Amino acid sequence: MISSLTTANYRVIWDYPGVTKAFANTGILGTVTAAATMMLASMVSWFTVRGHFKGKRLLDTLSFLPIALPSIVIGLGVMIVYLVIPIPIYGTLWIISIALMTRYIAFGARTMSAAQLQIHKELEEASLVSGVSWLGTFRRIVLPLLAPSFVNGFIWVFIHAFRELSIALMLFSNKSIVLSTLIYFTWDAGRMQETCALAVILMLILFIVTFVGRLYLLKKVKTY
Amino acid sequence: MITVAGLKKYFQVEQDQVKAIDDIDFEVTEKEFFTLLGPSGSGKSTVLRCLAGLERPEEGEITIDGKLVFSAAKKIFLPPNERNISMVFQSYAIWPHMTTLGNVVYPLTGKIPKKQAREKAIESLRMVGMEKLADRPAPLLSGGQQQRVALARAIAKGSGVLLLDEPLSNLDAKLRQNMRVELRELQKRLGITAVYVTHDQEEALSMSDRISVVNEGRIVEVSTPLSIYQKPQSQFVANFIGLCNFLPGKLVSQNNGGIGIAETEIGKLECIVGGNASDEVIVAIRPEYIDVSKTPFKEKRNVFNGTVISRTFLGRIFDSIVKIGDYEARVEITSSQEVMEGESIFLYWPPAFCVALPDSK
Repeated sequence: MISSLTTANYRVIWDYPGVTKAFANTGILGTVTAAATMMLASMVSWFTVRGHFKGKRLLDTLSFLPIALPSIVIGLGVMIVYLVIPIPIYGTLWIISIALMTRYIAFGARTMSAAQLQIHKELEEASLVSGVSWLGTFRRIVLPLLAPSFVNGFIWVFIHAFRELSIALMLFSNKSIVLSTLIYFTWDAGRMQETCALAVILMLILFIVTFVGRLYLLKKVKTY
Repeated sequence: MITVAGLKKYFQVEQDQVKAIDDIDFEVTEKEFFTLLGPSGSGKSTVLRCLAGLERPEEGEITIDGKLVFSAAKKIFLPPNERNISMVFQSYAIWPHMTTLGNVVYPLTGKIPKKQAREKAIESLRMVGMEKLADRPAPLLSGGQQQRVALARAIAKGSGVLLLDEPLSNLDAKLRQNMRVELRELQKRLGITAVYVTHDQEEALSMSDRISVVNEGRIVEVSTPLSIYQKPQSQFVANFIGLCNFLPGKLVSQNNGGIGIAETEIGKLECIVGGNASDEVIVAIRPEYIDVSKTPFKEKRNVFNGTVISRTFLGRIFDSIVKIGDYEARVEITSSQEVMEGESIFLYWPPAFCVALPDSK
């Protein structure tokens, strides 16, 4: 048994067409989706927690609603929308990213609202009366204070986006192949060893990301 | 320096509209220490937040340092960052992700050169005695230290108006007393105009040039601490600040000098006529202004005979209840006077400290 162990499959896979691209695409997709989702979530939570306008309940509900949508429905919905409206992102990585943002905004917004509620209103007001504009206050006070929660949510969305299959499967093209779809098709083509090699690499990456993220958060929590 | 005219601010609570500020006018002159004193929920903090631009009033006008910062009629509303003010909050609002110096230099960052900003911040910290802790992370500061840093941050901005929202109420009693003196000295030394919000009458009396008593969204009375204490113009003020005896009566005569005679259940009382009192009045006198003696007084008026029915030893004084007829007056008897419970004593109510107030009922 032991003698049949080999690392050959980890070398072989790199010669396959599209593998490097899939890794690069997945990295970009995870990072962009996580960053965009959490930034949008921060804005939404700021408005729903601090805002004084009438539609803030609606905004809160809207941001939470996608949790009820199955991935496959989001994938299909986003596909149809961008086939109709003339924004040329169909077939690119960005359409997958938009669908994933829709999928994870509920989690992001909840995380950030909880964090925003923890920040005393006077911390923001103290910045305003110090002569700093609302935008400057958001950047220099609110965001740094939200950072631990932001990073937490970022890692969560990043990992989910990194491994997500159904939406990627609905919306992928040759150009926008990602790891999960690659694994799916490698397996579909009957290459079990390579499939496993890819899966192990995917898991390793996610382990490392989780570990590094935890280290950062533990350090942050200590200083507060 | 600051002019507030016709200020109104409403809050929507469920279906009801609550008038947090119901038509308030006042003026604060340059370098004045002006206090808004009132019970919680009176609207005093809301007034301060309107001055800062943290609340948007419904009506009125606010001018700060010659600049119109709010006008409902002209649709002007300057945000807090465009007003010449700085503010100290009740919660101190020290940013936990910065050092002490980081907090104080913040209002200056990007506005003046870095080195200059740093020097100015250090100077502010020195004024509150915190320069040694400049590099300490803010979460490691104690409450009293945070209070000082908050003050240093407000000073560092260098604006002419300092707004203080109950800045001492979270400190322990001893520290609070020290800070009162320090704060007042700092304000005088820097020559800044201060608007101070508090519910603590001692703070208000000891620090202010003028006190404005606020109740239910309105200013009840504006005057100097001494005059507010000795000659309150309404029953609310007399009752809210210090202890007071109230005796209902009828004003039977009044001369041009504002001295009148009130007919009360304990007899005729010569008193000052306060507010716009007439006919039905309440005569107010503070327990410590009533003179006590075992032998009769020389004065003919305002002398009564009573029986001590209870006394509580408070060190400096006996806090006593003296029954005059059916009326129970609260009287302070200095602890050197050996007056026993059940003993009959003479009381003199100096006319200058008896104030006839309009009956609010």
